[in-house]
Amino acid sequence: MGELKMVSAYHNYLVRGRLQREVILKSLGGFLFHAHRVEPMERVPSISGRFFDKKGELVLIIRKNELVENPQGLALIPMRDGWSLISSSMEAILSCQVLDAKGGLITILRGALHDERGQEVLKGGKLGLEFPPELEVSELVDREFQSREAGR
Amino acid sequence: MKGEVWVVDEGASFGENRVALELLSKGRELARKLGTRCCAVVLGCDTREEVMELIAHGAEMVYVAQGPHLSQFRPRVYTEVVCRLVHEFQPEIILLGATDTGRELAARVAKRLETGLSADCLDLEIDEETGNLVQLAPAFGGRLLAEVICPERRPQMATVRPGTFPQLPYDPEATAPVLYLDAVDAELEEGWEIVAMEVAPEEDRELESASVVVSAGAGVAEGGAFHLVVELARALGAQLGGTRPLVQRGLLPQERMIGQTGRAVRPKVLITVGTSGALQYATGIRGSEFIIAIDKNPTAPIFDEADLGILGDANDILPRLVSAISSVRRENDLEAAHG
Repeated sequence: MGELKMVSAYHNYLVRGRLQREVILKSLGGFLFHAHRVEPMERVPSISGRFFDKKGELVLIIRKNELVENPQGLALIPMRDGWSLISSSMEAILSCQVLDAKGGLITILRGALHDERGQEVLKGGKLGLEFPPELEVSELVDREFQSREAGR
Repeated sequence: MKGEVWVVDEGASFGENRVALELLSKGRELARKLGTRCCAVVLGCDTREEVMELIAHGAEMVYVAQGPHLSQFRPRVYTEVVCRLVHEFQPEIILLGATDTGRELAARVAKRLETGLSADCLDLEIDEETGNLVQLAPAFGGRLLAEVICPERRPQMATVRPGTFPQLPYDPEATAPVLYLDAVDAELEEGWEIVAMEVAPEEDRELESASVVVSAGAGVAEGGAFHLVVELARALGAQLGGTRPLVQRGLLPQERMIGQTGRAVRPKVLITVGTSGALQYATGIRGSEFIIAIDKNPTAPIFDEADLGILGDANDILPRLVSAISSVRRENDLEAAHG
């Protein structure tokens, strides 16, 4: 019949033209992408995850916008309406733009991320994020996922 | 969940959906009494902002049908989408705004579902014994207020005019599940298409937001005092409106008609001249903060609505009123000029 999403009155990510308050993607081999919920009083969203390059080599481990492991020297640059994750060759790997909605905010993520096999698994554009549906972790197991992540 | 209370936001594509926000507040109240939830239904092309706004104002779930074929109000397509949803989820109550599109959509959906529809309801309640929706609606041309129930058919449907219920305050912490429905085919042909939409001229929209309104009724037209009412409005810097008979006589444009099938005004001061106070007119002025009624019939119902009544002929009273207002204005202007 359709796709059920949890949507916030205040802030949402755009995913295939639809809203959702949080995005969690995970592959069995280690790729991870978590766009965190943005609470009222906050504006710019934060992400966590483990990203790889086209060769399947680790590029970055990031926790709530803090670069924890950064073997390829990426930089997170604050921008006027969000931020950009930039490679050492100044290429934008992922950028975040926060747009004002009626009383709230909508974040559009642009760029592309690869998994541990070097396959492109996430890309973002005007209609928001796109990814294979099997990667998405539903919010029903969200808490379990977060506690496991915290223990890593 | 079966038995929900639905608010259909039919105006998502047209920018204004305040009436849907107002209906959510009443819808939640009804849902609480029925032990269910109040949901919004949104149809449109890009519904992002509407969905967030509806959640912020009390929608406990949102059903979204979106696609390019829903970008403008197409009665047959919209009716098809709403009816499919109703068959699938079986709501108990459906509320729509009594806007141009809401009225048309509600009537078509009610016909297709073979259920009842009460138009322009002034209040909605749940009968505690039966659980039926009690719809307080004008009947017999507005001469009576009737309590309407639909005991045998479901869903129970009602339209409500904008401004009837207050909306809930914006809650940024609200969250709700949103069901994005699979694409609905657009094969239905309307037989016509909207080629352009124009916003009404500013002056035609000022009546509802004016702080002072002067309104004329049939008594003015029959007594030849219409020009005096125009002068009074000019002297006060007020917006001019009136009842149906003045529109029918060509003295006022349709956009200036006040009442149940016209505009609902909410000024700080309303001066109503030669209006008997028929129910269909009175429902359009009850949001006014202070009503001054001028009429020569001492038993006219308008005096029951008024905070101040002036009994007499408009031809005698209005020139004196205009003269008094003009002289006060002159004095104020002189004082201002001399610091």
